[in-house]
Amino acid sequence: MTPRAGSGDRVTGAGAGSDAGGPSGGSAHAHFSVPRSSAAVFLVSTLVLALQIAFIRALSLDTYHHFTYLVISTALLGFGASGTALSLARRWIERHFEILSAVLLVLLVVSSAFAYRVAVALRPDMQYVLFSSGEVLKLWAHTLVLFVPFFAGGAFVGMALSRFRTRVGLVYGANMVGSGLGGVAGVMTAFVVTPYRMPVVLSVLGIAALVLWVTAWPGYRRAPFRLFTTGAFVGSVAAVVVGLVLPFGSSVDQYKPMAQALRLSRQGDARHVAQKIGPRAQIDLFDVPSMHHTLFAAPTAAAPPEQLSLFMDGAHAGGVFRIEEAGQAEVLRDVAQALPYRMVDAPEVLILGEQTGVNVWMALAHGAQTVTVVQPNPQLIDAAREAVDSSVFDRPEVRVVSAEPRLFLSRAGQQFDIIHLASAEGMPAGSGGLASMREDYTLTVEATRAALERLTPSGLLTVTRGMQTPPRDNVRLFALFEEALRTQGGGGAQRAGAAAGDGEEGGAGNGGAAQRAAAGSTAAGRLLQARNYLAVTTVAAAEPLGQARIDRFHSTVEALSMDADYYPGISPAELTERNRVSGPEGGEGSYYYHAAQRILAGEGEREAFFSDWVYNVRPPNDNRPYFHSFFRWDSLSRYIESYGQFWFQRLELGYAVVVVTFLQVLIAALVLVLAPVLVLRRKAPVARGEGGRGAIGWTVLHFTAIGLGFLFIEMLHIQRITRFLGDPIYSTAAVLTAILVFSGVGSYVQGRIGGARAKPRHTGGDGRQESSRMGRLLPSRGMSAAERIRFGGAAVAALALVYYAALDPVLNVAIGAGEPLRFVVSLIMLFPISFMLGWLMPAGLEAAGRVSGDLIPLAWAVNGVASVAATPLSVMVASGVGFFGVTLLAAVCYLVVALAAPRR
Amino acid sequence: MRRAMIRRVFALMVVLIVLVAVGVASAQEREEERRDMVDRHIADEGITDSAVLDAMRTVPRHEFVPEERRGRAYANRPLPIGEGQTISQPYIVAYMTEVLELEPGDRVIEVGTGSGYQAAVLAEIVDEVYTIEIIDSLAESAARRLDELAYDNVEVKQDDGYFGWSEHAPFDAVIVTAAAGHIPSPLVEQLKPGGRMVIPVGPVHAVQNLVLVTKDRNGDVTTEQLMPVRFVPMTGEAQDR
Repeated sequence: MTPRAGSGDRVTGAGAGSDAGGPSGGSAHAHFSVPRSSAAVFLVSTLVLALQIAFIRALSLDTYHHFTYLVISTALLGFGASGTALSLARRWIERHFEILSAVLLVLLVVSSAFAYRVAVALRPDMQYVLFSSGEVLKLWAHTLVLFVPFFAGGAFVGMALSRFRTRVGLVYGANMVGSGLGGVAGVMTAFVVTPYRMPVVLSVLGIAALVLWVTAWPGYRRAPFRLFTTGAFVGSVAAVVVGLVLPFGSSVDQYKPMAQALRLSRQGDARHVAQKIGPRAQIDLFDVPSMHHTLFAAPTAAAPPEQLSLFMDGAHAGGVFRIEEAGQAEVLRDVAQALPYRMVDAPEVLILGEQTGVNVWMALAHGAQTVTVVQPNPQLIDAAREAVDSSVFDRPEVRVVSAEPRLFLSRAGQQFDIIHLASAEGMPAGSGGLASMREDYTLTVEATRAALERLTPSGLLTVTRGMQTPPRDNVRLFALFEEALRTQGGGGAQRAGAAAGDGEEGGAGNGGAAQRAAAGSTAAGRLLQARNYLAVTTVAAAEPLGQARIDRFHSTVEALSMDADYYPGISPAELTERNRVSGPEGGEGSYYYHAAQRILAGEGEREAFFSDWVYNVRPPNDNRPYFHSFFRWDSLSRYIESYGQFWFQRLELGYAVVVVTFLQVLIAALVLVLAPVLVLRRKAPVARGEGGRGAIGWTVLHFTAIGLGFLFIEMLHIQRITRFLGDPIYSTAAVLTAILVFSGVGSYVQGRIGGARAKPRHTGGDGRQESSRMGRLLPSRGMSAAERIRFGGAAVAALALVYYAALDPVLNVAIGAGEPLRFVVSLIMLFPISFMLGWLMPAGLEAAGRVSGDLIPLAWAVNGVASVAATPLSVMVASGVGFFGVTLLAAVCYLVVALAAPRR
Repeated sequence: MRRAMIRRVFALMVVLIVLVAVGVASAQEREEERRDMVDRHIADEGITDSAVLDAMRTVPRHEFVPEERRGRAYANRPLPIGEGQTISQPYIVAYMTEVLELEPGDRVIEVGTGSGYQAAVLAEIVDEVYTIEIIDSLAESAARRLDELAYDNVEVKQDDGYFGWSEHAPFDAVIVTAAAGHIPSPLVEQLKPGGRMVIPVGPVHAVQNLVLVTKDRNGDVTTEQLMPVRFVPMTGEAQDR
């Protein structure tokens, strides 16, 4: 019989679910309800993806970015490992299919509920992990525990795909839609459940899947299975109940700042005031009298006022001042951020990315008429508001906008006298973690130009950032502002032209750098840079800076105990040394002065400077929006020479973590993929006859390409549509869900188009397919699996390139629209490519399954490993050659899929 | 009976002698390790102040390290001491001490006692050391340890170091062994004219800048960046250079 003929919604265990080898006969698995089984797959997929979010939330709260990334990436290899296990023990697994699948579900439930708790007990000492093999072993054990639920979930879905491979479109569709909704479920759960409890709460989905699964199989009512399934259900429920009842103490790593607040609370020197949970971060407020936060205050500044300490995911985000008037915080007159505020009278201020309100108080302390605050996380503002009786965010001069700073800048509106990039403030990431590899669309050339366009004629764009040694952040900021000014079109160009004139005029008296600078760059007359002992303030002016404003800059710099590194007309004789920092040997001034001179000295010198500098300080743009990544491969020997054995602690660890993760996944991939390949190559019938060994090679190629390609396309669209929609959390969840659900729809539809209409040339008397090699499909009508692969691969490759060129222009047309319309536009744009993406996995599984059921677990393993490897790889490619490079790579992946498709 | 008694006493004496011998040998061995650490990781790396080198050769670092980490006490490395804190890399202790340009009669305040090791090194050089630790368990254990090692010129207080110790101010030198977001102005105020302060400033769990703050005879304050370091927050100590 044909795979579906006569079976309706049920597939016979002996027929449709296996190939020539078949499962053992005589077991109780007479019929499985495919829709009900697919519903179980749907729930497991939902749980696994939501669990990924839950673990990321818990690890982010307890540990550090790079640790979270490394652990989660490794744990996700559970998917690949499950495919390998299925591949190596397929016959045995098929013989015990019913019991094993139920055992996997129980394992999934129990490990979801307890894995994090066990992992905490095994967590290594973070400060000591690089120096102790014992701590490294703990790290591995910790990761392995978190690997278990992904392995169990992956193995379950892999077994279902193998079993119901003639209905693979439906099963895979359920997997995709479930994964898509898992993203939403994870985000929504994070709003109401603490990170520690999230995995336990989510494990209820596993119990529901278990119920669906065993009831999909009529044999469960018979002894001895009835006893087993009852026990499995009771055991799972008991595990979840115990998991919920057991108390969760804080397991924030002892070296995180919040751990210090917790320690002080235990000894009575601090008090936990409030907490807000959510998918972006857990926000905690502590009353810790011994924490005195005021970024970049001068050494002689007054002590900061009474404040609450605000923590985001255990990291200190700043203080919420307990004051009622700006005058009560005298310290705010003596911070490095105050520099531009002292140069503009009664300004209208825009602060992008403000967190605690300290900068708002500072603006008010300097006479700001109005202050507009743009912050994408409304929970942060709410927490700061609720923490004190009189919140600065509630003052009549202050307006709070909940939006991504970049989106706010992109939409037309008001102009400001000061635009303060507070999101770039704070101490530099340093080697603090993976944050260095996060995309930042506020610190790109395009975003800076958008900000400059929002300035009034006398307006200033400003950013203050902690100093790194050797310098890089603030050098890059200067280069970024310079390029934005130099490449500004329209009114900006006219201003720039005037700036050049002003620069020459202003510099004439000094006869110094300004003349050279103005000759080499039109931006020279509109830039300022000064530093205290701790931070650098960089300023770009909307119009050329005249002598009066430069004089005011000078007096302000002196009043704030700062040293100027650049202003139009600066000369070496005017350099001061209130705060001594290193500079080039034999040269004059600091490295900041040196860098500014070279950046402004014309294209040739600027390029030479970027090439010479030990760090990558080129201005980021929307194609490579990695402001915080400074690593250069070609400087590696210089880093090692300068810093010795601890060189890696001097760098932004993010890049190194990404590379290490990729290499680790690559090594695991070799083991996880090669092992089943080697076994299959010796195994009949796969290795025998026409298409045998070729089929193994094709399986590895096809599923690697779609594993990588899918993640590349997902990453590209999440980035671009997140910028369009604004809120990073909701839009990421929405985009992820849309891509996966539309892919699930594509998966189902392609099955209807092709799979259902094709039938094997020969069928055995018991309904088993006899095909044992690629291409035994005999399409009666519709498209064969091979044709669907060719069409789908070519379509996705073409769409990827079309989207790269056309998506932004189309989205820009609608950027001024309201949120609902923008959301609809996003869905419409995402549908075609996501729909086609959904074709290639099930069509590939169908094609592989026609050759041998042994290839399906292999495909699952390869796809799982490739998907995990794709994440660090896409970041490496994007930071190296930009998103266009990722697009090309995705297109190549799908082109390979189309070209390598089976002939029939 | 009497012979048995003599045998027992003799056996006891043998055990005692062996224990003493092992103790002496162990102490000598640790002293050699300490000398080796100072020669290879401190003197050879550019620390020249003989008072600092002598102090580093004298203070038994292993006494300030948790029992289970004592084997690594003389490696040029930071070590965890519990409560989210670490004992500094020996080089950094020596470097920070040297830049203070201490004289025997000086009065010094340390913020962030931790295990008490830095205070002991200071106490070998100057007459008066005041050290403040905010974690009470660390303050207690450091005070007990310093007392046992007979550092009578060190006074330990459990308190917030941000405000210094006004009862004993002004100080010739201030040393902060915790990553601070900014230079606390009360510490600057408690510094004598001509005094020096060394402090790591910057983000926690990342690279900070070790800053030397100098107050001249007129009370004017200047700063100088010395080197990048990594300290743990509040009461932590340097890890590397």
